[in-house]
Amino acid sequence: MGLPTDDLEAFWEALAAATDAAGDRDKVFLAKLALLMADQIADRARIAELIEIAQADL
Amino acid sequence: MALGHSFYHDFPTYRFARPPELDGRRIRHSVVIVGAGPVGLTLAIGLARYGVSCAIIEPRGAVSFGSRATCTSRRSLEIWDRYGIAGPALAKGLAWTGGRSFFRDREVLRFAMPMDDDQKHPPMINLQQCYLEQYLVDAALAAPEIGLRWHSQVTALQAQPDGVRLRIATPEGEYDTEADFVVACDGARSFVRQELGLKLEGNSYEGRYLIADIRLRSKHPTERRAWFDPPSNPGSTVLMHRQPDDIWRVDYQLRDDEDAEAEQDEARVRARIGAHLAMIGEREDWELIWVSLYKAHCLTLPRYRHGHGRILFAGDAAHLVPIFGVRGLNSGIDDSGNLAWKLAAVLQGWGGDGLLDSYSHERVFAAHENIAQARKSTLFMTPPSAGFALMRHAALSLAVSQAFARPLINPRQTTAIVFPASPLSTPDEDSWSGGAPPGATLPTGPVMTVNGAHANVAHLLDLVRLQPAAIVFGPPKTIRTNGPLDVVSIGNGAEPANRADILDHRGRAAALLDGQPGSVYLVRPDGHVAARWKRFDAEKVAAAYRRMLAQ
Repeated sequence: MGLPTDDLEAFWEALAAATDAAGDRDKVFLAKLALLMADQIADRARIAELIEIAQADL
Repeated sequence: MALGHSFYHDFPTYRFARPPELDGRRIRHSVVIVGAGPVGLTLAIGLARYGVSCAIIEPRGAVSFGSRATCTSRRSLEIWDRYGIAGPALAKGLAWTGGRSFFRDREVLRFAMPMDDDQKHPPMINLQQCYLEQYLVDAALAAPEIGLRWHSQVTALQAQPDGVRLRIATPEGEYDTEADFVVACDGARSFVRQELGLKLEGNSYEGRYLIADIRLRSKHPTERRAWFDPPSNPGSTVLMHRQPDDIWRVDYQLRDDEDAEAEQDEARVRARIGAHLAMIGEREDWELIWVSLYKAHCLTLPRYRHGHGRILFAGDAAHLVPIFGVRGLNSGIDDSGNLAWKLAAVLQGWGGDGLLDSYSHERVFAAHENIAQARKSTLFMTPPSAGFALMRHAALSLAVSQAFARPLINPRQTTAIVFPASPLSTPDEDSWSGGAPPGATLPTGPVMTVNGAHANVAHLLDLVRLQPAAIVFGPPKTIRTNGPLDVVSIGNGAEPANRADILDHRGRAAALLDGQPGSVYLVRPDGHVAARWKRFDAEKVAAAYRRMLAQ
């Protein structure tokens, strides 16, 4: 499961570039992206899990 | 802050009238209502319709000032309609069905509230609260059962198992009086609540809104408009509603770093509203009439029945709900509609004491429902933290192009509350594919009343007046009950002539209630369904009737 490593790397880079491009709007950009992805995942329990995973080891 | 006496000063003021108790007469009232706001007045008028008399104790000598709770819901209109007092509000108020939200200068949401040919009333009307109160005062003064005691203040009360003793201060001295029941409708700072040592429970929010009435000639239609982070007031949220007489209601959020005192300064308010009006292209001169400050509270008493069961709480005295979604006054009117028939039934002996416990049970449940909905709106309208502010920004920004994000912005306007577990309801035993389950309010649609050769268009709603009602599909039935019951038969035209009270000429009653010949709905006097069956059984209806009235 999950993205192939190449694709994940490509996303990782693209997200870094887009976050930089957002400048001082970087937070809201990331929040928008999170909402869009939550809508695509369309699974309440799964997105709650993902929030929890992201909260660890910040 | 009342700026515009030139506009709102037309309301009458009332003098103190010396009550008989001041001259030594001992009087025992059935009901004393503390507070002549819209909640207390609605309750008094409701009681009067049942022939129950009451005294209302009110410190002021006139209605309140300004628009305050300007949005009146369909449910409130239904309650007033049942008491025959919706007319003036409907005639003066401005009906509306939806609105729009903007993020900066982009439209991000259009919403519509339920409205179709079935409805008797609009989902919402805008009408300044002072008008509303005046119409209710007029109706109360016209009811011989109601004693409206202006310039009078409760200073002490003591509940006993058989009633309540009250001490009342007036310009001409103090007097004592007694009541079978006292209903505290004395608002957010309720004296009765404090006197009983009761505390509201829940949360308050720090976010503040400044609310203002302005006089402005504008051709813009009646709809709710909300601007988030508008260029005219960066970082703020602005709401606008048209009201009668070219008066507009403007609400705007104060940022956390803004000082409430300084922001209420007239010049400052003018500057901020002026910038907003310029932004939306309003060019006419305008006048500032009234300014107030608002903070969101999500608070309720855990129970609304106290003092040996003799003291009940309603409206803001019982619960405080955030302004967003207009559940404040409207939930108070719903309290009064729920309590009026129950108090009347208890006092007149056709209902048991348990009805008053059910009032507390149902309306505390309603307060929690209202608070849950209004809290969500509050988190959006006054984000309480950086995280909520960020996610609001994200939702608004996405909503410009993404439909899925728009429900996050929806203002969640109030709708009728359903009681899924009312002690007065008898649960369904049949399987239904629709209709109104026990605890829901009766839906409405057009039907025809048949009276000999005359037929008139009416509404399903109108079939339930002050008494409990059994709505039967098919020929009339006989139901034996120990108390009042209107039995109304609905025909589909296939019956022999004059065999039904109501003709379902468009099939709307059958569709809305999932009704077939033999189906029956038992409905409370406040329009909530108590029970329903697919097949008529007089014994079952009678048993549910006893439960509905706590007999």
